[in-house]
Amino acid sequence: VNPTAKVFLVSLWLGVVSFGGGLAIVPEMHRQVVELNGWVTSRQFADGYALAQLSPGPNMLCVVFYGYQAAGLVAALLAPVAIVTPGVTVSAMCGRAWATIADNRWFMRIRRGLVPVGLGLMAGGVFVLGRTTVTSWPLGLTALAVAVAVNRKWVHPAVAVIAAGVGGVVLGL
Amino acid sequence: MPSSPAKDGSTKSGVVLPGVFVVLALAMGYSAFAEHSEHIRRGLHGLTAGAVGIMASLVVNAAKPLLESPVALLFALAAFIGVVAFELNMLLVLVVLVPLASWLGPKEGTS
Repeated sequence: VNPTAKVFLVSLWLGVVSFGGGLAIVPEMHRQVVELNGWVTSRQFADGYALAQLSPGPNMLCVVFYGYQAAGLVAALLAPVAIVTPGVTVSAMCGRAWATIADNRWFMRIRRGLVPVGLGLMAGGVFVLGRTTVTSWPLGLTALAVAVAVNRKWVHPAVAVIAAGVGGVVLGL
Repeated sequence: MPSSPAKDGSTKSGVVLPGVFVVLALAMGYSAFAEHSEHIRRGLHGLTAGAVGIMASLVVNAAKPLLESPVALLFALAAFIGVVAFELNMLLVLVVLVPLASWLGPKEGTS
């Protein structure tokens, strides 16, 4: 298969399993982008994810980065289109019926089941990114400091991440 | 977390488009410079550690409402092991675990 087409299909697949993003799809994204297709290394995967976090817009825009590394400009521009397509399609098909569906008893039950499973997937995302990036004690302390500062709402997340980056340059963490 | 597509503003192109070009520019800069510059490499090490910290904070927040339900935590652990240790397809993990979790998991308090 043509590499650009492959990027499109993989992004479409990520859109199907995620409905548009979030930390929970990181393990599947890593599996597709690093393990199955070898478009980037684990290190580059984490770099792309962190850079996308700094950018405006949803985190799933990291597919732009992976698409570019995999097959260049066209793939980079197609990847975000593909990843939002499943969610946009479903919302267009449901339209105003969405409120009815969302109130449905079975639908609510399914969503309830999604909460604990989603938590495990999110934790998997942290693990997948952390195992290649948090490779020294200073980097571990940096991650911990950012986690605490952001969780307690002492600083804005973007400020904390940029501070960690500056710390990396200056201190060589 | 999957959210209701109708309410998800992030899928509107007006919100996504500027971000696409920012990430594209960063990806191009990364390919051109990142692996040649020691300073950029060091910056990325700090940046990724910070990103992991942010994500860890999100996980802590998501875990809080489930801490009193051992069953919910078991399902979270099962999903974690499935994708991390066995590198299973995420859809398989969802299809197997979500119905079981909604059947056996906590009946209220989470949404």
